[in-house]
Amino acid sequence: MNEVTVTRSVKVQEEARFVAIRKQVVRGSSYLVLIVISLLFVAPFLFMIGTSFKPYNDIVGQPLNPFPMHPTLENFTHLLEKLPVGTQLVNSLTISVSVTLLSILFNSLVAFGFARYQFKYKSVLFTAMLATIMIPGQLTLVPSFIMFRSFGWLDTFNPLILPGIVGAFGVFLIRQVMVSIPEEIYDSARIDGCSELGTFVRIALPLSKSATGIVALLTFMGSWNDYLGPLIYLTSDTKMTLAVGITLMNNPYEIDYASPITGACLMSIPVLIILSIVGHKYFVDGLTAGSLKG
Amino acid sequence: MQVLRISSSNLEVRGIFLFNSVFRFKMAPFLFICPFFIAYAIFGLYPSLYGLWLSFHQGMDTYNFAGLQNYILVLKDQLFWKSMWNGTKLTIGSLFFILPFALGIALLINRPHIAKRKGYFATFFFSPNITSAVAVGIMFGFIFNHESGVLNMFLGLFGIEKISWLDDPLWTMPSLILLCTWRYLGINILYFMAGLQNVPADLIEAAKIDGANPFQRLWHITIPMLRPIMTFIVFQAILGSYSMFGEVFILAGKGFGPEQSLIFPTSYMYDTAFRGNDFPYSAALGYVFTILMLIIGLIQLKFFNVRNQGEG
Repeated sequence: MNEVTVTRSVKVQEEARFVAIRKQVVRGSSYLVLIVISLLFVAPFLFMIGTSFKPYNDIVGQPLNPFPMHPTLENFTHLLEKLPVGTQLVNSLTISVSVTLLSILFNSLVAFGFARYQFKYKSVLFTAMLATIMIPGQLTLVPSFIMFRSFGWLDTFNPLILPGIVGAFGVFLIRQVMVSIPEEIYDSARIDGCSELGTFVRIALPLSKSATGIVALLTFMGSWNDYLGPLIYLTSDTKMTLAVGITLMNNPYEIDYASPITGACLMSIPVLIILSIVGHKYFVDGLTAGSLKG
Repeated sequence: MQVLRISSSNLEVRGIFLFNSVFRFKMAPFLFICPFFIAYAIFGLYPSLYGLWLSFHQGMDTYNFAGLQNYILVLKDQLFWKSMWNGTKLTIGSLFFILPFALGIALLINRPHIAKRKGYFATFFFSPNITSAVAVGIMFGFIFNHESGVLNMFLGLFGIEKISWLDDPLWTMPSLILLCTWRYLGINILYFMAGLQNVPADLIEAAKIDGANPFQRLWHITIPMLRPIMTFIVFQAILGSYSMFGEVFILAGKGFGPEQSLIFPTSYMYDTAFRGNDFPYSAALGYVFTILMLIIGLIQLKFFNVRNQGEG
């Protein structure tokens, strides 16, 4: 009797140990899979950054080694000679920052209108706004160009800034958060003498910071990485953004592997830094939380 | 006296309140939402209507009415249909390769013992998505290079012969799908992770107790619960695949690739308008493309709705 329970308890213990080991193995292997895939995802960046610091001989000679064995800045100096990188960097920043600031203001104003008030035709207008998401941008590619040309806006930043300052998706994201602000907060602010615009500035804007932040980041990235817009609307070298600039220096008489990839490196680094600073805390969590309610 | 003062101040308060409420409920909402509708009228609606007008005309500088001529040409245009077919190939690649892959990783990240660090992994996978299309195109041009490309060198270590990723029309689409996997996996993982937060843990727990194995739990609980976000993800994937431009344009050397194997609707529209100077034809291409996209979008919504009702 006694022996039976002992052997059983040993068995149970062994089984428990086996289950625990299996759990450990499963856990370990799922980590391993994730880490391997993460490395595969980082590899192109490593090659890009590594290559832009390699001298020419190493780029051709040992392409498989992502780490520069003889690090040099000659690719960057060469790029600076070929391309007004500084000016184009400033252009890219000017456009992206302008769109972002204006889009924060206008998207949240519209979102506030839809979140705070009940009014006639509200649901019709809201549906009409959301329906614009279905229309692909290709529809207005040519007519917009002709329109902006007739405004005399070619080779200016206007066509790259103004169309981006308010959009259905941004309004929708911010509205989702503003809707959850309780009516009582607005009422008490009104009683304390706050105007309608005041409730927007003092209550709705600060309380919807998470969604506004995501919209701002998405707008900034979209504008910073935009290729088609600057390609169509900008013509002169000094007005060009970096995204298009680095594709325009292909000289048929010179085989230059390094310059395009150095340019690519130069324009990826700012966004990668932004992502690594605000990334996992704010952006990733915010985006998942924001779309959760959608 | 006392009574009079109170009533007069009452009146005043009521007046202010009346003014405010009129402003609040009549004018204010429209003032707040008008920026969107004004902006859309100028930058969306007007160009769309102008494009419609343009698509019924022909000519370079002066436009002459041509009726449906452009549309007939578009419908007969082999290159246009080739570009749509390439879009379809990429769509199939996204739906049957990228999305299942993304769901798998999202499920892996969502496991309790990894969930603590999910921010780090999500950031890792997300980083390609915020990199510019141009940089990605250049980077992969480098990786896919026939002679000195990293990928061929790497495959060479295993004795695999060099593949002309970008010069052989057979290999260009797989190359593009590889590029898109790298670039768009992260955003889809994020979408799936958002959807997985809506799957109640006790439901999974209950199924576990009832003896459902992991695949049964995935098929009968997790995937049906993900349907709302799946509608959105699939819609994004389809629209994104057909609208592909920057990456493929750079990868194909600012052209259409060997034997037009990398021609996409947007590259074709860009080429027609800004290299061929045929604005009306490009506008007609834009309209046909938009109509096809709306049809595909509606079919997709219908498909998801019907299946929803069938099981709900």
